[in-house]
Amino acid sequence: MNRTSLRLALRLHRFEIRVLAGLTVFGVALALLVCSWLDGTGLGRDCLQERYAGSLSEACLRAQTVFDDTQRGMSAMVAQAVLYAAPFLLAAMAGVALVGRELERGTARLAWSLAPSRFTWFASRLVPVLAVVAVVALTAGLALDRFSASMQPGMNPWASLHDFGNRGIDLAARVVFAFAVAVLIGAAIGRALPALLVAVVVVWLGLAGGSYLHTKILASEAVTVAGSVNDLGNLTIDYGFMAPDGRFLSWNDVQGMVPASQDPNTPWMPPYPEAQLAVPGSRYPFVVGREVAALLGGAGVALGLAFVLVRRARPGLRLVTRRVRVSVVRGSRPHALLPPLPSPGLCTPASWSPASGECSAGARPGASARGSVWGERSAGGPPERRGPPERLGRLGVATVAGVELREVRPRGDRPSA
Amino acid sequence: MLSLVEANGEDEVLEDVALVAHGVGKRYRRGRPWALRDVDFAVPRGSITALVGPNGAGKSTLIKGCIGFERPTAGRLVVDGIDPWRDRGGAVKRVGYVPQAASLYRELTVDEHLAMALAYRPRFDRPHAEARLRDLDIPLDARADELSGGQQAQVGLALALGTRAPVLLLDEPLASLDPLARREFLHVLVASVRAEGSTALLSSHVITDIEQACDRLLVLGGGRKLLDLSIAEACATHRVVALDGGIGGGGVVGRFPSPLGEPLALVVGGAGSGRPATLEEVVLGHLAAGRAVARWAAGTGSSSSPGLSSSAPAPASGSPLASPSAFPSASAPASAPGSGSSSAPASATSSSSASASPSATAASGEEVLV
Repeated sequence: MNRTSLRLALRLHRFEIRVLAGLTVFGVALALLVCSWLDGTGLGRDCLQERYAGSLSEACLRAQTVFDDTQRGMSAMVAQAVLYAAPFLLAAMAGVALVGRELERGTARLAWSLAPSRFTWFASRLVPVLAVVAVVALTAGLALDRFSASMQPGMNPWASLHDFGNRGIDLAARVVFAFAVAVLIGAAIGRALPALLVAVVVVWLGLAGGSYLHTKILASEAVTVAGSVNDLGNLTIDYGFMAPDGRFLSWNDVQGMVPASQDPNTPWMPPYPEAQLAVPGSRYPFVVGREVAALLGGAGVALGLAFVLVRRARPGLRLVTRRVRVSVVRGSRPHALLPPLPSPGLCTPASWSPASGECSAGARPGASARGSVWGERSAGGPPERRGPPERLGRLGVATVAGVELREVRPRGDRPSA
Repeated sequence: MLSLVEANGEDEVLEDVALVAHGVGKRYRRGRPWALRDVDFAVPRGSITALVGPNGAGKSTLIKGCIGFERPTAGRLVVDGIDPWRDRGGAVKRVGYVPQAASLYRELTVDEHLAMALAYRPRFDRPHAEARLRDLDIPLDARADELSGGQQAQVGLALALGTRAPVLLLDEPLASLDPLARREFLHVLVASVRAEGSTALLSSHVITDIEQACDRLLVLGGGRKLLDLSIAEACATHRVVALDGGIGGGGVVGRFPSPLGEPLALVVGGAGSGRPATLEEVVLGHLAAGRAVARWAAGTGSSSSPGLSSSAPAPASGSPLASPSAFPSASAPASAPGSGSSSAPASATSSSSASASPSATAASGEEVLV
């Protein structure tokens, strides 16, 4: 791995990197602009406390109005959306292309015939793109940190679990995880577009499932905090009351303890002070560190599996099983070198003779049949035909032994190994 | 570099061969037909060997096996003394590979392709590759997708030649080229191989070009080796006769139609009858024979076709080989007249030799032909 191979790896992803990194830079600039507008309103923590207390001074009211307009404005929404989406898009697109596009286009054959070590090839492809994805994601995450701090005056983004997971290094780790999963799926499927669609679903499910799991873990670690006002640092799990012994009591707990609460006609007040079950914001570094470690670990596993697939991959070869209805478009004399094909026919499994390499059924234009069609597709260039008809083009036209078949109704496409 | 062939548990050292296949078989999945079966051959060092066969014959599979892209299900391949599957990195270092399609990165320029090759292989001879491309007026600053098919193929060949590998594997690089581009490609290939003493295995369908560029012929059909001879020997020992005429003393290898539909037969020997066979007719005759054998094997469910083993003394009863109406069997001279090699024409019947010699059936004194 040297500078040239790193530079060329980036050249191969120039489009994705330029567009999405450029979009991220735009998002950062817009977010900083919105931040300056928000900070310029002068709405500080003192005003927020006035608001919580229910009385706003004239100055705070003016600041609040401008702040709210800016916060709900289009610029803020666009900045936030771009900063959140662009790194994930970059991760997904660059990730599936890293191996999947090489297998799809057949360029892996060239690269692997030049590189004695597939690990070297994989690493030289992976490292620069991963670095760019990480830098873009970290930039977006830090910009979102700053953005959150401006959107919630008085919040310390490094000691607050507010908007946890959608900013800071946690966001960057999620993006890296998404990238690694995309690389794995690209290597497994070997085609960029299907891999992209699958990767989006898998990453979304993975992150949603991980967040749910982490929230459960956090709930078990929550402590009782007096008061009902979120100070923008805690991650509130539940609102309720504090028992004299310091225990957290939910509304259901309190209703069970106060007999008057059972009668809807009897007014009653909970006899305990309000409290929250929350994870203190001071635990932010630990909580984020734990999630980042888990995400990076997952990313490492995914990349390891992707390399295993790369090591085992047979470049330029994909077996495809399709159930299709085919009809003969045109029967033509094969190349002079090919054995004469008196009856090439429609090559359904029943009519195909693997030993003789031809079909037994007669081929006449307009004939059609339905059945499974097996074949071998070679990525890029003329296919090698070793078996019944293969799907060659994007137009659903297959050729076997000089007879052109049109695919009428595909019923699925199951590429394998 | 020596080639090692494990035979009878012992490694046999073959100094004069660059590439050896020893009972190679390949089946992609259990239950699927064999893509390659019992293929034995030895490619002499310094030769250009044409690998010919119909689609699905196993040519690409064989070439991919030689570079470690495919693992043989049975048997063993040895490339310049290295088993590609056991030491893929070592094999890749010894092989220059030109894939079926040029497989260039469309985003990169020609110059960047050369830089990439150098980055992966520190011993890549970039000036050598650049010089070849300049000779062909291929702009180094052009992106791959701006090049014609012929130019892309030339870039692929330049990359392979720049590796200075002792063995070149070319997997149908001529398939998508026009005649002029094919000729230029072959000219560069032949000149380089001759100049550097490397060995090339060229898979192609274009017989006319092969005839001029290659000095050996390896024909595959239905995954099996049908013929392995020098081209001169192949042409010298085969004749073509019209089926309505007398066959003479030769054994019929296979029947095929002329472009005008006239039924012809390829015979071995048969001096005095018919006319000398062209290389294309030799190939067609052997492919027809291979197809008949495969049909017979499919019909009988036999896993080993008659006559495909050197140990088979004669066509089995009931096989198409024994039927005069199909492909009559006959005997042929053990050694071709004027042939310096001990090998008689290795037809479909004699192609499964386990030794490095093109044909081991000469030892039996008589060949069984289809």
